[in-house]
Amino acid sequence: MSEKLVVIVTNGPDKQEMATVPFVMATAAQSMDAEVTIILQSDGVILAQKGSCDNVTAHGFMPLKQLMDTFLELKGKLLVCTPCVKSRGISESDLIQGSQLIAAGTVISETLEAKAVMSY
Amino acid sequence: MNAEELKGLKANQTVDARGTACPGPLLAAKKAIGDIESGEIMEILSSDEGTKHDIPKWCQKMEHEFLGIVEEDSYSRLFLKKA
Repeated sequence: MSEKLVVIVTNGPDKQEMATVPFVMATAAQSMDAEVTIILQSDGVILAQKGSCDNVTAHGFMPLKQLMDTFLELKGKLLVCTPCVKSRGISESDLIQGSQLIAAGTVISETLEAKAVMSY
Repeated sequence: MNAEELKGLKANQTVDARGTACPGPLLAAKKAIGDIESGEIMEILSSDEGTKHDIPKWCQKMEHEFLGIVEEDSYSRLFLKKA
Protein backbone atom coordinates (compact mmCIF):
# COMPACT_ATOMS: atom_id res chain seq x y z
CA MET A 1 0.00 0.00 0.00
CA SER A 2 1.42 3.42 -0.95
CA GLU A 3 2.14 6.13 1.59
CA LYS A 4 -0.43 8.87 1.85
CA LEU A 5 0.26 12.62 2.00
CA VAL A 6 -2.28 15.38 2.58
CA VAL A 7 -1.48 18.95 1.51
CA ILE A 8 -3.69 21.77 2.76
CA VAL A 9 -3.73 24.99 0.74
CA THR A 10 -5.22 28.22 2.09
CA ASN A 11 -3.78 30.75 -0.36
CA GLY A 12 -5.32 31.83 -3.65
CA PRO A 13 -3.71 32.71 -6.97
CA ASP A 14 -2.94 36.26 -5.83
CA LYS A 15 -0.18 34.74 -3.67
CA GLN A 16 1.56 33.03 -6.56
CA GLU A 17 4.37 31.32 -4.70
CA MET A 18 2.27 30.15 -1.75
CA ALA A 19 -0.31 28.78 -4.17
CA THR A 20 2.28 27.04 -6.34
CA VAL A 21 4.62 25.42 -3.79
CA PRO A 22 1.96 23.01 -2.43
CA PHE A 23 1.39 21.65 -5.93
CA VAL A 24 5.15 21.32 -6.41
CA MET A 25 5.31 19.25 -3.23
CA ALA A 26 2.27 17.22 -4.19
CA THR A 27 3.57 16.28 -7.63
CA ALA A 28 7.04 15.55 -6.24
CA ALA A 29 5.39 13.17 -3.78
CA GLN A 30 3.45 11.56 -6.62
CA SER A 31 6.73 11.01 -8.48
CA MET A 32 7.69 8.85 -5.48
CA ASP A 33 4.43 6.91 -5.82
CA ALA A 34 2.78 8.52 -2.81
CA GLU A 35 -1.00 8.84 -2.78
CA VAL A 36 -1.67 12.56 -2.48
CA THR A 37 -4.75 14.51 -1.48
CA ILE A 38 -4.85 18.29 -1.74
CA ILE A 39 -7.45 20.08 0.35
CA LEU A 40 -8.32 23.64 -0.63
CA GLN A 41 -9.63 25.85 2.16
CA SER A 42 -10.19 29.58 2.68
CA ASP A 43 -8.83 31.54 -0.34
CA GLY A 44 -7.28 28.30 -1.55
CA VAL A 45 -10.64 27.30 -3.01
CA ILE A 46 -10.22 29.99 -5.68
CA LEU A 47 -7.52 27.76 -7.21
CA ALA A 48 -10.24 25.31 -8.17
CA GLN A 49 -12.22 27.97 -10.01
CA LYS A 50 -11.97 27.51 -13.79
CA GLY A 51 -9.40 29.84 -15.33
CA SER A 52 -8.12 31.25 -12.05
CA CYS A 53 -4.65 29.70 -12.38
CA ASP A 54 -4.12 30.08 -16.10
CA ASN A 55 -1.56 32.86 -15.76
CA VAL A 56 0.07 31.99 -12.44
CA THR A 57 3.79 31.23 -12.63
CA ALA A 58 5.86 31.72 -9.50
CA HIS A 59 9.52 32.45 -10.15
CA GLY A 60 11.58 29.28 -10.37
CA PHE A 61 8.63 26.90 -10.65
CA MET A 62 6.51 25.31 -13.33
CA PRO A 63 3.30 27.19 -14.21
CA LEU A 64 0.56 26.44 -11.67
CA LYS A 65 -1.98 25.29 -14.26
CA GLN A 66 0.52 22.76 -15.59
CA LEU A 67 1.20 21.50 -12.05
CA MET A 68 -2.51 21.17 -11.31
CA ASP A 69 -3.13 19.28 -14.55
CA THR A 70 -0.20 16.96 -13.78
CA PHE A 71 -1.48 16.44 -10.24
CA LEU A 72 -4.89 15.34 -11.52
CA GLU A 73 -3.37 13.20 -14.31
CA LEU A 74 -1.36 11.36 -11.66
CA LYS A 75 -4.62 10.57 -9.89
CA GLY A 76 -4.29 13.16 -7.14
CA LYS A 77 -7.43 13.88 -5.16
CA LEU A 78 -8.42 17.58 -5.17
CA LEU A 79 -10.90 18.36 -2.39
CA VAL A 80 -12.58 21.73 -1.97
CA CYS A 81 -14.12 23.14 1.20
CA THR A 82 -17.84 23.64 0.56
CA PRO A 83 -18.49 26.54 2.98
CA CYS A 84 -15.39 28.38 1.70
CA VAL A 85 -16.65 28.07 -1.87
CA LYS A 86 -20.14 29.25 -0.98
CA SER A 87 -18.91 32.24 1.02
CA ARG A 88 -16.95 33.41 -2.04
CA GLY A 89 -19.93 33.13 -4.37
CA ILE A 90 -18.34 30.36 -6.45
CA SER A 91 -20.83 27.92 -7.92
CA GLU A 92 -20.14 24.21 -8.28
CA SER A 93 -20.29 24.54 -12.07
CA ASP A 94 -17.39 27.04 -11.87
CA LEU A 95 -15.06 24.41 -10.40
CA ILE A 96 -12.51 22.57 -12.51
CA GLN A 97 -13.13 18.98 -13.53
CA GLY A 98 -11.57 16.57 -11.08
CA SER A 99 -12.24 18.68 -8.00
CA GLN A 100 -14.67 17.49 -5.37
CA LEU A 101 -16.63 19.45 -2.78
CA ILE A 102 -16.22 18.23 0.77
CA ALA A 103 -16.84 19.31 4.37
CA ALA A 104 -15.00 19.11 7.68
CA GLY A 105 -15.59 15.44 8.33
CA THR A 106 -13.77 14.47 5.14
CA VAL A 107 -10.86 16.77 6.00
CA ILE A 108 -10.43 15.05 9.35
CA SER A 109 -10.82 11.59 7.87
CA GLU A 110 -8.22 12.30 5.17
CA THR A 111 -5.70 13.82 7.57
CA LEU A 112 -6.03 11.06 10.15
CA GLU A 113 -5.38 8.46 7.45
CA ALA A 114 -2.30 10.24 6.11
CA LYS A 115 1.29 9.54 6.99
CA ALA A 116 2.05 13.26 6.80
CA VAL A 117 0.17 16.54 6.42
CA MET A 118 1.66 19.72 4.97
CA SER A 119 -0.16 23.01 5.35
CA TYR A 120 0.30 26.19 3.33
CA MET B 1 31.12 6.19 -11.22
CA ASN B 2 33.43 9.03 -12.18
CA ALA B 3 32.71 11.56 -14.91
CA GLU B 4 34.80 9.77 -17.54
CA GLU B 5 33.02 6.46 -16.88
CA LEU B 6 29.63 8.21 -17.03
CA LYS B 7 30.50 9.90 -20.32
CA GLY B 8 31.21 6.46 -21.76
CA LEU B 9 27.80 5.10 -20.75
CA LYS B 10 25.22 4.39 -23.43
CA ALA B 11 21.86 5.37 -22.00
CA ASN B 12 18.81 3.35 -23.01
CA GLN B 13 16.65 6.42 -22.51
CA THR B 14 17.53 10.13 -22.49
CA VAL B 15 15.10 12.61 -20.95
CA ASP B 16 15.74 16.17 -22.06
CA ALA B 17 14.21 18.37 -19.34
CA ARG B 18 16.45 21.38 -19.99
CA GLY B 19 14.59 24.65 -19.58
CA THR B 20 11.98 23.07 -17.33
CA ALA B 21 11.53 24.54 -13.85
CA CYS B 22 11.07 22.62 -10.61
CA PRO B 23 9.68 19.93 -10.39
CA GLY B 24 9.58 19.39 -14.17
CA PRO B 25 12.73 17.26 -14.51
CA LEU B 26 11.60 14.99 -11.69
CA LEU B 27 8.17 14.56 -13.27
CA ALA B 28 9.76 13.92 -16.65
CA ALA B 29 11.97 11.23 -15.11
CA LYS B 30 8.99 9.67 -13.36
CA LYS B 31 7.06 9.60 -16.64
CA ALA B 32 9.92 8.11 -18.66
CA ILE B 33 11.11 5.47 -16.21
CA GLY B 34 8.21 3.26 -17.21
CA ASP B 35 9.58 3.09 -20.75
CA ILE B 36 12.76 1.23 -19.81
CA GLU B 37 13.41 -2.17 -18.30
CA SER B 38 15.00 -3.05 -14.98
CA GLY B 39 18.77 -2.73 -15.20
CA GLU B 40 18.66 -0.26 -18.09
CA ILE B 41 20.23 3.19 -17.94
CA MET B 42 18.39 6.53 -18.00
CA GLU B 43 20.07 9.86 -18.59
CA ILE B 44 18.31 13.08 -17.53
CA LEU B 45 19.41 16.44 -18.92
CA SER B 46 18.48 19.35 -16.66
CA SER B 47 19.33 23.01 -16.31
CA ASP B 48 17.46 23.24 -13.00
CA GLU B 49 19.89 23.29 -10.07
CA GLY B 50 17.47 21.53 -7.75
CA THR B 51 17.42 18.46 -9.96
CA LYS B 52 20.92 17.56 -8.79
CA HIS B 53 19.45 17.02 -5.32
CA ASP B 54 16.02 15.72 -6.34
CA ILE B 55 17.04 12.86 -8.62
CA PRO B 56 19.42 11.17 -6.14
CA LYS B 57 16.69 11.37 -3.46
CA TRP B 58 14.11 10.06 -5.89
CA CYS B 59 16.40 7.16 -6.80
CA GLN B 60 16.93 6.36 -3.12
CA LYS B 61 13.19 6.32 -2.49
CA MET B 62 12.33 4.32 -5.60
CA GLU B 63 15.35 2.02 -5.21
CA HIS B 64 16.93 2.95 -8.54
CA GLU B 65 20.72 3.14 -8.55
CA PHE B 66 21.95 6.71 -8.95
CA LEU B 67 25.15 6.57 -10.97
CA GLY B 68 26.31 10.18 -10.91
CA ILE B 69 26.38 13.58 -12.61
CA VAL B 70 28.31 15.01 -15.53
CA GLU B 71 28.40 18.78 -15.61
CA GLU B 72 28.15 20.50 -18.98
CA ASP B 73 28.38 24.25 -19.66
CA SER B 74 24.77 25.16 -18.96
CA TYR B 75 23.18 21.94 -17.76
CA SER B 76 23.77 18.68 -15.95
CA ARG B 77 23.56 15.08 -17.13
CA LEU B 78 22.29 12.73 -14.43
CA PHE B 79 22.55 8.97 -14.82
CA LEU B 80 20.64 6.20 -13.10
CA LYS B 81 20.05 2.48 -13.45
CA LYS B 82 16.44 1.37 -13.09
CA ALA B 83 15.69 -0.99 -10.19
